[in-house]
Amino acid sequence: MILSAALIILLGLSAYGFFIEPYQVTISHVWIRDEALSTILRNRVLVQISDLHVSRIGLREQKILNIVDQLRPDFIFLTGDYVAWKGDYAAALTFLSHLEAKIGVWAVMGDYDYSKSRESCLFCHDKDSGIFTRRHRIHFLRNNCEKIILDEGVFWIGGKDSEEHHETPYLTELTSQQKKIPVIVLSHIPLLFEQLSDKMDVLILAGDTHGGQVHLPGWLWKIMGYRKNALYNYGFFKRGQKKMFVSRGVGTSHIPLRVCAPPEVVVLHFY
Amino acid sequence: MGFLLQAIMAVGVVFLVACNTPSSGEFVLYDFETDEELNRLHWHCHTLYSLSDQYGTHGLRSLKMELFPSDYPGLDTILQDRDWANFSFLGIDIYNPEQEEIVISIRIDDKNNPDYNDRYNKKFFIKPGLNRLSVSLNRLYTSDRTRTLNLETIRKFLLFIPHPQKKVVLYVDYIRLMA
Repeated sequence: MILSAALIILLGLSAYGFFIEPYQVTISHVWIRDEALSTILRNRVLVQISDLHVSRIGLREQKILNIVDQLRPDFIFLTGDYVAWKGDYAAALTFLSHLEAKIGVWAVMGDYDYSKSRESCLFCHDKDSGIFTRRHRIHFLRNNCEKIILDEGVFWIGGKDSEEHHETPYLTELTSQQKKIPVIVLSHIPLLFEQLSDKMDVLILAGDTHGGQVHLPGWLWKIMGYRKNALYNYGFFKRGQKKMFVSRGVGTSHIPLRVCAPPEVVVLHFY
Repeated sequence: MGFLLQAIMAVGVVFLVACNTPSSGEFVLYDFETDEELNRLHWHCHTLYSLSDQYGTHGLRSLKMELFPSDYPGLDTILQDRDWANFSFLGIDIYNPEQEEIVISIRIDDKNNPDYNDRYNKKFFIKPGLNRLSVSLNRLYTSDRTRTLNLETIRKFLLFIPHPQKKVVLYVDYIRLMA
């Protein structure tokens, strides 16, 4: 009797985890205390989307596009992993071509985006060519940054590329030389948080963890060897001057399952 | 007819395998004859790879590399054969279509992400025209000269130009290990 009940619960949970929650895309409003960014961006709509892992434009992808349309964002920040591992890049590029924001869309690439090295170039270029693609209007940041000038003020958007693991000197330079200018850094991997000095006044937007896909305690992730999930599974982190928000993202990898870690489109607010 | 076709294919396979076995004294890592070989390269910004019908030294084609001004544009291989212990030389043919000499660097790693001092680094002067490089594998010292590379665990082989000031085109072919 108990065994049957447990089996029914397990089957129900599996059905929910595989067929319901991965498609329940939520809007998460995240409030971050940052006076400098608040001065510039308090009246702007900033959206972060992470870990899409698009293999086709299906129900989940359409929901995300509808949400973005409704939000009418000024900025969209994409924090990597647009494709499935060695998957179809065409579907991801089609999805990206539908993303629009009033001021712009900035992005970094994740490790999955490099799973087919040659195809990874398609995010920026036409096939096997140095010509920049016109398929989308996204600014891909590959260990570089752009200065954003608005009527309300100026800030930097930097991007930490997933392929070059040790190249952060430009970030140090950026934050030390531009102390009065706020910096937002897009990084697929949250472990960048540990590579930057506590004295750096920077906001990192990261993804990669998927919030674990199944909500588990940190110590369990540690036992399983998932350090990034053990330390930075989801949410807001602050140490010294540096801050980071890690999104659960919207897609799945390995197993198409989510339990108590629903996909999210993040809306960032500063105060 | 079907049997004949199968027999021809079998002979072809045997021939290809024989050409690529260490016992023949040579193992071709890349000869850039098929588009598939371009998938066995790491593609980076500021380097454009394509197959060319010009300057092939093994087969009909070569790899055309267009290297644009940046830090270290060049050839970054995805090695399938990492045990080089049965060979004595690494051979590479490079055609320089420019009128002036070009300096390239070759880097070989025997571990993942080694520091500069813990890997093989060497400059080569590439004269105009065809250059046949031969790197002695018995003397692959790390830059700090404290050890030779472990040829059984080769991880990476790169060929690049440090900080080119203008676009450079090179044709590479017939990357091979020789006994």
